[in-house]
Amino acid sequence: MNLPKPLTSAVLAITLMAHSSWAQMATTQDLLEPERMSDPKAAIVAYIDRTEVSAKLEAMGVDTATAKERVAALTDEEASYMAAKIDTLPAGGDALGSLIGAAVFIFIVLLITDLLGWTKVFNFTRPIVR
Amino acid sequence: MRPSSLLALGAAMVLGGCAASVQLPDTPSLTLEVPFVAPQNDLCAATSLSSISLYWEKHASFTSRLDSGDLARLTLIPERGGTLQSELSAAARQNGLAVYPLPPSFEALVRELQSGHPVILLVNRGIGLYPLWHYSVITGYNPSRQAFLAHFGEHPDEEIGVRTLEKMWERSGRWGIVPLPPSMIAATATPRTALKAIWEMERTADRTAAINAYTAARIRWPDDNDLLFALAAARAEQGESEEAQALYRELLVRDPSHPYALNNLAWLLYSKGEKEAARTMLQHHLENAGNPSELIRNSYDEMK
Repeated sequence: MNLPKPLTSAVLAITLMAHSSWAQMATTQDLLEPERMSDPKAAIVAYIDRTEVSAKLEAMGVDTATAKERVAALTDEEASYMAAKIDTLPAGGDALGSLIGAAVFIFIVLLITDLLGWTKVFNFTRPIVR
Repeated sequence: MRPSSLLALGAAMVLGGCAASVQLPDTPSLTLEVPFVAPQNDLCAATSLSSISLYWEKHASFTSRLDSGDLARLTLIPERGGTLQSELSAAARQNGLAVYPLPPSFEALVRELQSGHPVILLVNRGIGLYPLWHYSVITGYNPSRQAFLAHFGEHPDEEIGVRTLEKMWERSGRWGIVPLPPSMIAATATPRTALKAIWEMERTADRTAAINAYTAARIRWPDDNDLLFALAAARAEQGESEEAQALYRELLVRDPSHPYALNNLAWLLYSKGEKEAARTMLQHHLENAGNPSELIRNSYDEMK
């Protein structure tokens, strides 16, 4: 049978999870989220979320191997949060690069808010109000 | 109310709005000696982590597992020009640090700094309509100037007025983390947040480090059953069956019907050949517990 690779691994993962949910050692995860233990769907959803995050990271310029490594380093909770909101979550970076495309108007607004001490965009401004 | 008192009330409100709503403690200024890592384009998450990791290499027995190149590779999303909070935390764990969430208050921030723990905050340097997200390491404070000190931009320990920081932090939903070596627990942690932080580390990064962290947390909260369970489970996963059994037994002395401890102890006994003892333990629970655990029933059926 020649199934696409993601599908085979999904089937394999689900089979493994279905087996292990029968009788098992309780983990610390079960202490933190007891309701999850009895939900056979939870592990499958987590698996799908991870696949999605990995695909989105690749689409945003991360290479395949690194995307896999990064997804593996996430908790289920983090992965599902990112799967839902990766496009809109704040991405902390350094401000000035993203200002280059900004309109002059935005520039001036931020200059004023900097001086008022409401923002801290430019390195050369010192707030006049403390 | 007379017009004059209305005026006074109005003035008080306006002035109240101008005064800093956050007061720094009336103590001498504090600067943690956090090594400064110069900013690089879009990499404030990676440089913040490098800086804190170097601090802990100096001030505790901690060794980074990743170099700055790795940190950049694991955190930057090129198309977003920055790093998501989850991936900052994940990279910190991969580097060997436990990541505690900072409670969203200035009191919590000050307490962590006073304990010698530098903190990473997510701030919005810009405005709501035009957000400019940025991570910054908070390295201290100076009450006489009503300022925090931060590796914010191009200079180390830059002063940021309390009011400015408050506005910028507010706009990120007051998100912050306290990355610590495994042997240390955040000053503002509760047994629950510590359990979660350490478990996340165990799950995604390093079980040996997590075992050290659970052990440290148990020194702070010796009576916490969940931390005891977590330590037992980690030791069992590590293959240290005898140590794990002893810890599960300790937990069962405190809470004789703890279903997870019973279940896991039974499996450890079962796997080293003491099958009858394992079955008897579980059977005893099934016959005597008011509300027998489903997990134990499954395990018992499997052991037959």
